[in-house]
Amino acid sequence: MAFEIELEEFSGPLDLLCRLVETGEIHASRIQVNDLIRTYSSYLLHEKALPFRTVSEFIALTARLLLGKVRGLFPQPCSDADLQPERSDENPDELLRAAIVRYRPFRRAAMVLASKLEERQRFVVRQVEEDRRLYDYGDLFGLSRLWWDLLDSRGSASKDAGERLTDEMLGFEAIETDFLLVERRMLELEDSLKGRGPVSLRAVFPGKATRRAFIVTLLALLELARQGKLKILQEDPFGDPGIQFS
Amino acid sequence: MTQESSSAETKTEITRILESLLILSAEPISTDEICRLLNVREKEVQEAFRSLQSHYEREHGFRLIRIAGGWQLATAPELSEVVSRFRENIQNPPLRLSRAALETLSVVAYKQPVTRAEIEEIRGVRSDKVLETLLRLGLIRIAGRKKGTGTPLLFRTTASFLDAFNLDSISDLPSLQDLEDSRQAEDAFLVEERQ
Repeated sequence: MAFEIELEEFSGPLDLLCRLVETGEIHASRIQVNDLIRTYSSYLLHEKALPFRTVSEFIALTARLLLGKVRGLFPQPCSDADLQPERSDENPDELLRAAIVRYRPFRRAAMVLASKLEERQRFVVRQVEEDRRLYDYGDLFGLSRLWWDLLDSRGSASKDAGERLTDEMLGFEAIETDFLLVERRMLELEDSLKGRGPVSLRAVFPGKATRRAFIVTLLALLELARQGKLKILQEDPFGDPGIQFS
Repeated sequence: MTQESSSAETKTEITRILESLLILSAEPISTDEICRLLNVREKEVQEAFRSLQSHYEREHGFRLIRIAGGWQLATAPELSEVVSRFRENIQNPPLRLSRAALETLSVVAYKQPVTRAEIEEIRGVRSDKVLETLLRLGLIRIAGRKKGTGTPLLFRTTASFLDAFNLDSISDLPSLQDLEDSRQAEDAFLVEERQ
């Protein structure tokens, strides 16, 4: 028989973890909530009995943990301790002196760079005639800058010519509203699944669905369920749900 | 033909090829690039580059410089005045950087990858505008995001930075400790002079 200990302060490892996050002893960003939920839920599923209280506690604790992570993203409010003057051994003069000492080598490095720049400018090299590559691989800033520069020059050229810059000229696809996409997906699902037996939810997302396609399909399924055209069934906890058209 | 004379001919041939490629190229040529192109060993290419380098140092208007991880032909520095007068109308003005930009650049160069907050902590002033200028000039680039709260952007120097500051690699810069030591030595010298 398993030996269980319940303390007044902590009701389990997840509770302890929440407490550590809330007191700042563990930084929230270091916790992978995904992994935690997977591990903990598989542990709970192995238990013979799964009381409602245990499941609700688990959900409440995970929510606390998520709240801790969200709070971690925002600047922390100043505590009374922060508002107190610095410790006596860290007076402002000392801190300023320390900052200057720390910065001094960088200022000197800047002087080295200035002399290197001057030295380099005494060597003249052949100039690139064609356009230089303006960005490194993965440098999204460079790429977006290049894109906006091109857009600006195209825009001013069109303005001079009295043209109006259209989405087609810029190479943008016509934007289709999400509402229309969901409606079209509802019709597609109805055509492909009606008259068939229960279909696994996974089968509805073929191959590598994009995030947009995933959301549109999910919304279409929920809307069809709301209209009473299909039922979504889940036989096992955390199992793959099945879809059955009426 | 002896093996020795054949090797000398190969060396001369590599040197001639390098010379022709260097004249054509507007960007530094790396040793690796030549090794792949000619299917020869790195040692042979480096020797050829060095022999060309010493060749141009004698009574020529060219110099072969080591820059941004490669080799590039440049005009001799002692001719810079006349060259700059000649190129005045055909080239962009030379790069001019403020002291703030140089200091920010030095923090990025020594602390990379580094976030804006870390740069500002060292400098003690806001640095967003300076970083924007350095990004625009292509001297620094965004190199991903730091893990942790807020996932701030990380900055690194670029190959253009090496090129602009006459550096073959970032390790050519003196260490911060060396810089501090030389400053202290200069201060001590000045104190002695005054006494």
